[in-house]
Amino acid sequence: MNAPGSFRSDGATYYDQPAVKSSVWGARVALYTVLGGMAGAAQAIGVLASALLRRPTTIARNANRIGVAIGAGAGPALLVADLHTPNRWYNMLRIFRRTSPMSIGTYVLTTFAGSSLLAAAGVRSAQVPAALAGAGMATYTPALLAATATPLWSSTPRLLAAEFATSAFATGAAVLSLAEHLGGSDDTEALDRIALVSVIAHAAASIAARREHEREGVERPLSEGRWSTMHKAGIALGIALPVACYAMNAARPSARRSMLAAIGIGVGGFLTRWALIGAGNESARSAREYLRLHGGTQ
Amino acid sequence: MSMPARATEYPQAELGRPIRDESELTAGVTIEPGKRYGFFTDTTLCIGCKACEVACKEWNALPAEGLSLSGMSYDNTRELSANTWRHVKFVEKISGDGARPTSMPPYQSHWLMMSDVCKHCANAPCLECCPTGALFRTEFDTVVVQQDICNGCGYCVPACPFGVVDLSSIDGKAHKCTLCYDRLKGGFEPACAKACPTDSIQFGELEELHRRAGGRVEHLRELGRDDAYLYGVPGGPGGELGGLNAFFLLTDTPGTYNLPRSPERGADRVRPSLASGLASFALLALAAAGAFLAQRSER
Repeated sequence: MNAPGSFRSDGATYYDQPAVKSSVWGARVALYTVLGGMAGAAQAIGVLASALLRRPTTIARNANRIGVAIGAGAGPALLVADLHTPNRWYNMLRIFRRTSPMSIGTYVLTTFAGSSLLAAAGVRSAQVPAALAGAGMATYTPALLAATATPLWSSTPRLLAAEFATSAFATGAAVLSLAEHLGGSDDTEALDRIALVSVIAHAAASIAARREHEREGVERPLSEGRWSTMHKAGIALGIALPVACYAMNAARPSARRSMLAAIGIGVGGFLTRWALIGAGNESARSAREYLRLHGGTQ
Repeated sequence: MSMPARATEYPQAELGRPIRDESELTAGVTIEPGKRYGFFTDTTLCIGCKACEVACKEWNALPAEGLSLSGMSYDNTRELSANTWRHVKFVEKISGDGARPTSMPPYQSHWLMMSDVCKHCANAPCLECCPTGALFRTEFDTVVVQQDICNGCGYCVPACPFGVVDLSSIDGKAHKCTLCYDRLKGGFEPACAKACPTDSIQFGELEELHRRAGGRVEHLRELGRDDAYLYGVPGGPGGELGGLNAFFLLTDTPGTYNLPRSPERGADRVRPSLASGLASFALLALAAAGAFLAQRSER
């Protein structure tokens, strides 16, 4: 590899100048992907709870409220704030383009916001559409990243999607569990079990994605530097901490540990996303990694 | 008005009919909606004068960007950006031991120069990912950002497999080469092609350019340049996106010019990603249903 300031091109790249451009996305978009996925999964869990639990439950009501707060509030606000010409946000609704996950996501978010609002207003038939749009909320963002030319994201479209979807499900169950505790009910055994299963699935998807990144030679920004540190912190808070808490709760249930696990899943999920987006941007700056991924450097 | 006697010595200067497009005289092509136009950039003819960069900046009124020296070659432009739509790359070829060579191959000696530009891909990833429809395909089969539509979401920036599209910090919109859409409408060839003093940049109808480029490769091979090949023609290197309307004649590996050998279409990854994400979500939903049913049977 050329040392910085080297005057010679070694034939592998053009003086190590970036071959593709990095995205302009950062913490704000990472926060949106986490909140959107969380609210989406919460709606799906809410529908299942109200359909399957015999006694009345507050889970669906909480899920609707979260769906409204994020689908119609924080979500669009974060996205519009991230535009570089925000007063033209409505141009997103000019067309539908199935090759563009961002266009798909526009309508997924619109449907999710609308059906969540209706469901929160008491329209029962809006519950299922909200849950289905919720599945879209949890899965269109990894497709959006995978469709770019960024080496880290584009090298593993399937596993990136599995990572995001499982993390979304974990955060969805965690936020509902937290809402139950805050609402005064400590009966969160089923929700915590769902969160635990999701966290384990997320860990498996992350390990598989990591292997794939290594095979493709694009893992560098996740194995060294600040994004790697953030990624590790995300794993510690979002996977290790909740697994430990839930394991201890299996022996002796504690509401406090359940809440700690839920917060860990949320914060860890955000750190992991932020690290994946930041590391992706860094991977796009390496011409060597990009060119190797697309037919070799020779 | 009588014609000066000298003028009659040059009958080839008389067209004998009205001139429809100026491009007929400068590029030998008329510009009609519905036909496919593009650039053939022959890097063996590039002398690195950067007239294309200047002509592009002047015609499109693009602001200057930085006045610093890159320190790596004669290339101080470094990259294509929101304000730079033509960029001449300078690759100095030095043997592995670092010694300067003592003999000269024909064409470009030991400097490879290449005027890079938006490729106007047949299946353009920027266009395919644009959620507002700001990026569209024109009647000349080129890809253009409509500035009155773009809302600066920035998705096209990482989507471009060649790092061409960029957001402007001045107006918050995406910008790139328009293949001089405004000039084409007026019957003028693009500014860079017109300014190129060696015809390294040739503008024309795509089929004619392909024919011309194929002939040029054959000619160069006859002259002993066995390494000459076309980048961005369907079926060849860089042709994965259905072909590039701006294609190149190169004499070294694509990587040498920072070009991917096989650029990919991002839209091809949408379906596998969504399928995998939704399958994961559905499996966990089943697990969640199981957890709720287990709780119901416990009580």
